[in-house]
Amino acid sequence: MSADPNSDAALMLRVKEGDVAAFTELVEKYQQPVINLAYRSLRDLTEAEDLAQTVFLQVYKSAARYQTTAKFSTWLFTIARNLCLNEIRRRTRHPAQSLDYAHPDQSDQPLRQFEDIKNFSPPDNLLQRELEAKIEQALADLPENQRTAILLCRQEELSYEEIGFVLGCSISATKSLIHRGRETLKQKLKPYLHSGAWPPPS
Amino acid sequence: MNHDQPEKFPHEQVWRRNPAASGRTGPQTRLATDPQARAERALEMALTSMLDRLPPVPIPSNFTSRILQAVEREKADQTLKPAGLRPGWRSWFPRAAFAGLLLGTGGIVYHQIIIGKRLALARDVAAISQSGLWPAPEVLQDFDTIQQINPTPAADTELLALLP
Repeated sequence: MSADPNSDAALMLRVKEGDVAAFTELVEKYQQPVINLAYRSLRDLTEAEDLAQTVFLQVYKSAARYQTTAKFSTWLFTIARNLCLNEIRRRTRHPAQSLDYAHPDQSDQPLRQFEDIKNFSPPDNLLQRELEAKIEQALADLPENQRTAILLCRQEELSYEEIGFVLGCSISATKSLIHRGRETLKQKLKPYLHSGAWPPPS
Repeated sequence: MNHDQPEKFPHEQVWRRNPAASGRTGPQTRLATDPQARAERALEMALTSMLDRLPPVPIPSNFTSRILQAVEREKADQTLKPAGLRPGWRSWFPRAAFAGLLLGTGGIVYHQIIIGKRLALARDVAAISQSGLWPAPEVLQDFDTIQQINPTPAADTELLALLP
């Protein structure tokens, strides 16, 4: 595992010795997938950035305890998922009211008013954004373990066994979570899947 | 990939990113013969494609430097803290104190219950001994010896049977 000096394990061994350059390399390599996971779990960009920052800080602080027998990405995503779960639990205990929440006295008023631009031919990217919003919403509505399983499944370097390790379940339970999550997504997104707006790769 | 359970998740080969590019297209024979399986596979592949095309979340340009600054702050904090109390004592000390308080209170309550029971027992023994129901100790001096010499005869069951 540590034969390649640029492998994650080799970089972590350097981080253990206080090498900031190696740590920077790991941050740059994994910041995108960690922020993606955090954002799609929390649906708040600022919180996702803060959480990702905490994940990497935790990695740095725990570097001394890192064992090269554990795959770095599995370890990293386990930390990320645990912090996401903590944040979701904290939100459940102390729910925050959205600024978009309608005031009872003004419930007949629209939340926001926008200028009526007479543009009857929306650009294609508007449709694209709407579709993306639908997918994001469908993902957000999934139970946490199904959503995380599906998101980690997109990480090429993680096997089902490693996804299962992050989620704390067996390979077959992991596949079952992905299957159930995808079934729900297919039900919710069926019109878009059939419309050909997102054709399968040729 | 999953030869042990080929039918449990028949489309798992297309769950991952770029299934077509990696050649993971699954059981071709069933797909060739079953139109429903083909339709399901197409739906699965469209969903995978949909998930793959989700745009990456934008990352601020200073994200890495923010992390490095946080690391520097962490290092500075570590050097300022006294050695004995370094690893997160603020988090475990109140918990340990609370656990100690609970244990102490539990111990005192248990001790009081035991003492109460013993006092009640002592009061009962004193009351019985003062009531005079007990024979004098001299009477009981040879009790064991007498019991061994003159064991109680067994009941005469035949005589008992003749009784009206």
